[in-house]
Amino acid sequence: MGKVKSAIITALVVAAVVILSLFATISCPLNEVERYNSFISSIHMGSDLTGEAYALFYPEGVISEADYKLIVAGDESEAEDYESRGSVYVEKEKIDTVDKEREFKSSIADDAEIISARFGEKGYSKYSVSVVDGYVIRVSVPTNFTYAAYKGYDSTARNNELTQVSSSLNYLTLSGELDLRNGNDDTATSIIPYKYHGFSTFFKDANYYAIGGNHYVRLNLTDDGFINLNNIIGILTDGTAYFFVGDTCLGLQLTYGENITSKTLNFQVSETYAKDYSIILNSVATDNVLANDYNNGGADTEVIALSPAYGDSAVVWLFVLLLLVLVGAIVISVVRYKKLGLVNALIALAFSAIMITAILLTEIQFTVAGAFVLVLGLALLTFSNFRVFEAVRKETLTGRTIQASVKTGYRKSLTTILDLHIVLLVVSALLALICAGELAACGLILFIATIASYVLHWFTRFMWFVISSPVKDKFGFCGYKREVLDDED
Amino acid sequence: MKTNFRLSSKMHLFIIISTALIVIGLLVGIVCQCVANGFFNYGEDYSNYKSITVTYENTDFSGNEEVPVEIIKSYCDDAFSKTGVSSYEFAEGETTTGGTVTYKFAYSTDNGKLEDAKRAINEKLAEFVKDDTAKIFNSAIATSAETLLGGGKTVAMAAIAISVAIVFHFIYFVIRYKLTMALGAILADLHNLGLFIALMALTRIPVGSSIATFAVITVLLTVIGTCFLFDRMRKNFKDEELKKLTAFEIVDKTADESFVINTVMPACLATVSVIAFVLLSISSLSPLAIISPVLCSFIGFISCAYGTSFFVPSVYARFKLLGDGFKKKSRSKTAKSTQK
Repeated sequence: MGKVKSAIITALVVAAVVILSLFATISCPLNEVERYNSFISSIHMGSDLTGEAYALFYPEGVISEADYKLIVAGDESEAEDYESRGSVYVEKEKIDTVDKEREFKSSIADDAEIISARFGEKGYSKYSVSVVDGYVIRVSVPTNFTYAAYKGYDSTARNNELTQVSSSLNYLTLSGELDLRNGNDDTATSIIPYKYHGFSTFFKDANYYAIGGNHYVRLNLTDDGFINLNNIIGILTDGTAYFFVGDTCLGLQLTYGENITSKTLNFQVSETYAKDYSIILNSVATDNVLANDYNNGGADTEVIALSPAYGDSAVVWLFVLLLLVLVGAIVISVVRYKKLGLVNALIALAFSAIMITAILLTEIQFTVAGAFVLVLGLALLTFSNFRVFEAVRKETLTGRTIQASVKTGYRKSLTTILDLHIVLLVVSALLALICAGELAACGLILFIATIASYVLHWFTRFMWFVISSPVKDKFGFCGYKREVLDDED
Repeated sequence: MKTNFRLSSKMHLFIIISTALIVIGLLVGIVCQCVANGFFNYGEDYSNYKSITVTYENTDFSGNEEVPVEIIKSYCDDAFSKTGVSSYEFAEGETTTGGTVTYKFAYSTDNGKLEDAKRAINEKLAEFVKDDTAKIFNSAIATSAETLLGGGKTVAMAAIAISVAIVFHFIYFVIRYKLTMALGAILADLHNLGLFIALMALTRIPVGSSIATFAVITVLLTVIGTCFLFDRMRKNFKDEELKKLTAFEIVDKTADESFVINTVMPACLATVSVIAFVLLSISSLSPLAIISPVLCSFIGFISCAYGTSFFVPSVYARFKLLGDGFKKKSRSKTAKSTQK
């Protein structure tokens, strides 16, 4: 390859990597109002880095100590209806006998199990459902903030995330049966005749899917449900029927004359609600209905965003750590392989930028464990390259030229590198598919990292060839010592 | 860097070390499961706790520029030191009308002492808030009995994923390498994972949900290590120049050649763990929250380095011998039957 060609390709690749890296890492104000948030600061973080949001769910007849104090301040006689239980106050009629109290507590514990199962389907990197003092359910989920949202640089994103969390907390704790009503307000009444034993008997289950940026809820009908629903749609009097869970109207509706031809109902829903709707519908359709009503049907739910356990600046320190790892990998490769080390450095930089972009695009929740997996991915790429560099060095010691050594070195290392990447690719895919939450996120990160590592491993060879082409001392370029063959031997 | 450990002759030593560690770890875990807090020392993610939460509904402290959280924290810290209780985690919360400050305590903390602390905090807050109409403070003791079903599910899913991954690792090695090498690979996975679990039970490091993640990372590192080890092994066994050496010598040579890569990678990751601990400690509100995942990862990397570099090559030498013996027998049987 000629000098000019080599220079152009090198300049283009370096420019692409540097520009991508800059966009990935540097945030800056554009004007007095707007701000450019880098890819890194737009990645969604787990609860260990940007905190969790929690809400307390009080069943009917249970109030907090603060509310009790307000009742005492207003009407002391009303306060006599309550009895203290740990940090909460419970209506006496709910716990006036030991059996009643046990039954009430057991129904709350059962509800907590159902709520936990619902949140388990949401795919959070971490969540918890607990029972406080036996009477109140506490649900905590990651805020899912990006760094920009967490620090307040992107207030819209922050509000959107809190709205999303709040919406999920409300919908996934809805109590009551599935129903179809003739309106979407409080006055609406059920249009499901008593003989059908409830609207939920119409459905097998519900699930969520997304195609081309559109989000859908799919309800699978039973054989009887399919016939019954067609009958009901045919006799709709005021045109539209709405899906309700308990007394809460979901944004799903059926209209008069709608012809249901298959045993699935598909509703296009906005991204904010689609997953929540599918989870709550699936839960109530499979008879997992909450026994108690919480927070006055969700109206009194207050979401509290907590600071992360690793501290306010944990994200910054984590990225400092990742930067140190990258710098470490670059320094080691440059020290050991001289200018070839710089090629490896360029590839490592490209790997980092690609991973940041991929994590941003796939909306993976990034956690400390995810950072470890990212480091593992970088280690995989670096060690794969080092392995080949050593194989090439070994070949040069037999007296071969650099070109011949590179060819043989890559050929000899091919099976090792290929096997390694195939095994890791399948294992990471298994993790991403089987596991949920943080582990699934780690599996997905490793999956992307393995593909990136393999592609960049071969790209290293290309760049090695391109950059070293105009160099005269190719052995010096790689930090190898040329073996002088002794003719006398 | 090359070593001269002659690992194949030290199989018994490594088996004794590994068995002793795994058996002791499992015994400690089982005993603790029966009489203490569980097989592992379940940390905050899994255990019940008590907490004191101060909720403030107004941040306007008249005539005072101080940050309310800092004031509340100082009152709480005072009250806790006076009543002799200590929290293990602290978190600030944000509400629409103000905020919350939550301290978590071990479930065994005395209720009476927490009540005393609560009273003391309330008194201090009442003194501080001069204008009663504008500021409302509520403080409450919440004793929480956690039922973290999500955590249990995570561990179960991780166990399934690890099992499937190990089976795949075995099958892939059977196809691409040899049966003895596949057996070596599965032994490496099981040994390293077993050692990780045993050491976690033995050291009683508080574990959170991250234990599942680091168990998976241990298996991943083992996969990487065995790929490097057995690929080199396969090449060395095929090498014409090395054919004059015994199987044990070839295994020793391969273990020496793979030693650097199989120890440097876990060592690098262990160093990253230590740096992570140091850096995150700077920002963390409770360093205890960080020490657990860091130690978890550290144990995982140590298990990997020891298992893949020392234990597996020494045992594989016997696998190879058995495999060769079996092959010889079946060959001689075939030869005899052909002669007949």
